[in-house]
Amino acid sequence: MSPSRLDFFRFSISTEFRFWIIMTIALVLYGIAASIGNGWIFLLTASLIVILIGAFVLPLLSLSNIALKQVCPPRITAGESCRTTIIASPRYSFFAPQWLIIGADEKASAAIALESLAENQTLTFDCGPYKRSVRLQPTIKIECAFPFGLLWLGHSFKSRQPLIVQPKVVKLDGRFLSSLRSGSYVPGGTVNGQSGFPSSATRNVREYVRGDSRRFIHWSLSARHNRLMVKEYEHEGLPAYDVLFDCTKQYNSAAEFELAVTTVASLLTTGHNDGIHPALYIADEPISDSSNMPPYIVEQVAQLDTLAGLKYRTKTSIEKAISPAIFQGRNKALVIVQASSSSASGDSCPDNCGVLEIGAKKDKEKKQKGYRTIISEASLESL
Amino acid sequence: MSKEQPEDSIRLRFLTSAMSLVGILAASYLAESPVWITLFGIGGVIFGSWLSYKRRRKNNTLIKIGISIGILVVAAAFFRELLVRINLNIADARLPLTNMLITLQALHCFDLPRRRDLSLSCLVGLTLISSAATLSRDMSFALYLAGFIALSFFTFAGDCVSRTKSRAHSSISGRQQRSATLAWSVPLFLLGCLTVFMLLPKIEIEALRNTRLAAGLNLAFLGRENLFSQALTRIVSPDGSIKSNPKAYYGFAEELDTNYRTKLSDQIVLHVSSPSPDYWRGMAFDTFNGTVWTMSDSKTVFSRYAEKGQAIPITPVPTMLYNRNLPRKSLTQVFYLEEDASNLVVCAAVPSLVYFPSNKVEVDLYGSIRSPIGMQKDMVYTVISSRPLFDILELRKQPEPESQRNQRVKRRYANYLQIPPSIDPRLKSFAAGIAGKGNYFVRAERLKNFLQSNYKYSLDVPPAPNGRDTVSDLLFYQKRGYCETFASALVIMCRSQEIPARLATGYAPGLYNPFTGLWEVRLHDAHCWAEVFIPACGWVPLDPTPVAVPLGLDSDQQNLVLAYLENLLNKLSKQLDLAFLIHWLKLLYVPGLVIFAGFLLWFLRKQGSAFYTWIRQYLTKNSRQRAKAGLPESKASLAFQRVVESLSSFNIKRSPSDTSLELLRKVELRLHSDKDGESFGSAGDCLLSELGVFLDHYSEARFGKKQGTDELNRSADQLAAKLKSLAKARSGF
Repeated sequence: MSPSRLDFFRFSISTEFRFWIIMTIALVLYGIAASIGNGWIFLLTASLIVILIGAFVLPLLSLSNIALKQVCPPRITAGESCRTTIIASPRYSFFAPQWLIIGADEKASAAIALESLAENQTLTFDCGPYKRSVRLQPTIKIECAFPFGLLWLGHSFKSRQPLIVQPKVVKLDGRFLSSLRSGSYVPGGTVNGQSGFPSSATRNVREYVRGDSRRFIHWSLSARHNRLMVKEYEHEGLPAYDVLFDCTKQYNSAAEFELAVTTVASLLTTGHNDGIHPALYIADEPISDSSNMPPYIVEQVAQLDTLAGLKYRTKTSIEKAISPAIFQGRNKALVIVQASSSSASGDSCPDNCGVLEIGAKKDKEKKQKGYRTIISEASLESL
Repeated sequence: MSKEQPEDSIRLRFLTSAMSLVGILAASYLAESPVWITLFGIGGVIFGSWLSYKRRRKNNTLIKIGISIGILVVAAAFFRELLVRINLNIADARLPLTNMLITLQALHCFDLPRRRDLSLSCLVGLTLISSAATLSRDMSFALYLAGFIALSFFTFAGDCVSRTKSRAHSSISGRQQRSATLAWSVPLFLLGCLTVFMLLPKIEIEALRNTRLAAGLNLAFLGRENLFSQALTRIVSPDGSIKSNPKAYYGFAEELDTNYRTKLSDQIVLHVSSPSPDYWRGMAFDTFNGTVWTMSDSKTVFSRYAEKGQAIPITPVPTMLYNRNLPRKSLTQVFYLEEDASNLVVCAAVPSLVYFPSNKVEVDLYGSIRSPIGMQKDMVYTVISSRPLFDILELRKQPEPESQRNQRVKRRYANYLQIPPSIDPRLKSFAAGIAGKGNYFVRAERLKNFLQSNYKYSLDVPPAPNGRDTVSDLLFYQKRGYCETFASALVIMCRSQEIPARLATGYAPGLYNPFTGLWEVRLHDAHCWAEVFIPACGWVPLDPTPVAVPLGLDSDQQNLVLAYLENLLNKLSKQLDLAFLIHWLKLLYVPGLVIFAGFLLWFLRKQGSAFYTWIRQYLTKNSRQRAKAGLPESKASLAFQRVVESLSSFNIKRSPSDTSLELLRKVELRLHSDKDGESFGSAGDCLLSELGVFLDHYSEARFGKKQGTDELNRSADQLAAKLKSLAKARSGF
């Protein structure tokens, strides 16, 4: 959050209607003065000309006298506001800028009128909310029309510092993840991210999937339903998993794509919070080399930064299947996030693989074990 | 489209009202509006502005209906006045228009709820001040205009503040330098206006130039053939010399004595609105007796009447006829009489139409127009002259007239060839030697150039002695003279060469005032020149006076502005009476001192803080630079370092980030530690308290404004000595 000095010269001009009226009056007066040869009216015309010139020059001088520093967080989450602090100060003290309108990110509703900038002024603006993106920090625009108020001269101070708007993260319930089974060494196929001791409090009951420990089978309930049911415990950790974000297929809409990104970000964040530290694979994007990864927290940030930079493509040029090698020899489960319209990575989902399909499912008959459909953030929360 | 909110700024309303008031005062003063209109205007603006502020959020239907009725009444009064003026042959609509604008402005001030209404009020104020500008004939209007422009600056600023506030979501007050900066900006703004005014190209559009005006006073008619002049009030001194009235030119009389001596006053007698300068011709003389010029026939005049209540056409008399093929330029001049004058209607030659307060004028044999009514102050008349454009090259090329034609000219203009018998006999041969051979114009021009080149202009020439004519006195004795003697000399020299010539009097163009656009003709601009008859052309004016103002001033307007200002300053400096100035200075000494002290305080209050901040920043920057350059530190810091070094004997180290308090805390901990607590005892407590006092003083000296580093040095030395002795005592144990 180091302050960045903004000294780019970007000026804009907008005129008040009065500017044209004054110009017209000046022309008319000039014509009258020339017609009747009256010097006083020439002088009145001259005063209007000075006003017209001053309406441009004086705000320009005022704006040129402003030095600005901007402090802004480098990362925010989509949908959040970015609190930007600016420190404005005059470059030289004998021509203090007056009556400035300072606004951030061209958001006129939050602009502040500053009476005088004789000394340093610190101002704070809430910019945004922004959509998921990698963009530049908010642009600060200072406008001035003082003293004639005929012409608004604006100076945009554009930052070079990036602002990463990371995808939104939803707190997951974890049921779907619990049903995954990884090939890891952890007893019961789970990793306890909290204490390492199983809890006696039951959180949920679900159908048995291959790999579940027989110790967790709820025998009485299984007898009642005539199929095997297993218990999930309160503090039971999640299985170790990685996430594969399949961008090779076409998402129906940008909203669906955003939901997919949110899903991936939520899975990753949940994993990191539980100490799993899932890796992120993005099909159709270069897969990060985990050996070069920074420590976990940085890795999490890096993963979210990567997701922040993903762009929705209306047409996917690359129609390629995901390399089968990614499914083989894994000691962690794999969660695949993909468009509902796309065909699964395999008709039969491997045991240690779960597929999250984003968007309404067209093929309703395609109900396979290990598949879940995410159609909204609400359905994502109950994942 | 959202409706504009009412304007809440009292300051902006006040400034707008002030602009309106200045406009009303200027217009009513210059248009000489009736008192009730002026009072209605002022009262209406003040009361109306207050009422419109109080009721700015209300509907005000009744007020609007009242204003509408008022506007209808005012418009009706305006058109009625216009009709009356048309019937009275007064073409000037500016006065009723100004009165109407004053009342409209007052009415409009009752309905100013929003900012745009205030802007409209300013616009009406601008119209009023423009209207007043067209009526202004002197520099007194400058005060009104400067006030109006200064107020407009503040109004624009107030309007801008209001706009800025309404545009922003919230506002933050910064440091209060606004009013001071604005106050300083006004003189700069006025200076900028003057500069742009000087640089502004002042083109001339002839279409509306010089509206034909004729406004006179209700005066009784004078005798038909007489010429009346104030110059007749001559004073004859006991020694026989004649002095004339310095407030009237003696050349506007039935005779002109070239031996008169006077310095005419600086008083403005005429304001002339004319697109170009010219000699404003009054009258002409044909008979000279060696000293006095007279008219051989002053009683014969021709009456010229107005046609259907319009202008009076001036049919040229035979002595003002020019060749029809000569190119001409129409010149419209409006004359504003600033002083009472003789009944001569001065104008540029050759008048063709006169708009005059009376329905007739008289034209004498010499082409001079005489007014049948007294010419009193504030009279206005317009003359349209058909100015012959002489081509000097063509005139020089003309062949010498045949002898037959010469004889004809001699016969026809015999009175213009008259030479007094008392004239010096040397003159003819003298003039012949200068004139040489050539046509009429060439010879006259040589004579004129000779006079201009070889003689000097002077008003301090003694009267010609008895028995000597003034022309010979100039040519052969004095070798210096003034316009009357120079013109007389040229006329007589031309006549000696059989060239018909006459003496004309009138006014020089005067000084052009670039602000009013009028030529200011002062009494000392009264002038005399010669008119020479050139066959196949007409009467050509020739001015032999060496310092005569050249005709056809074509210098650019910027130079005219500077020239006018320079002239004004010169006049001021000349007119400054030192004794008078000292008297006023004595009177104004005490209040002036108080005002100056107040201004100084105000300046220090407003600008001093900014200047102090700048100085402080500058010094801080310098001290930082000194520190960077490794220059010696302050005395306080050196004393502090000595104490810190002494503390090292107790194994107390100060890290660079330790503040004074942290250092004290370290020392306290060290002295009261279990190990050494007993060894130091009360001496340790005493040392601690002294160290605390020293550090306080150090902080004040180093970071505050407190002085006294010598005392700090002494304390540091004492403290260091105590620490040394304490350390010794400790090692002794």
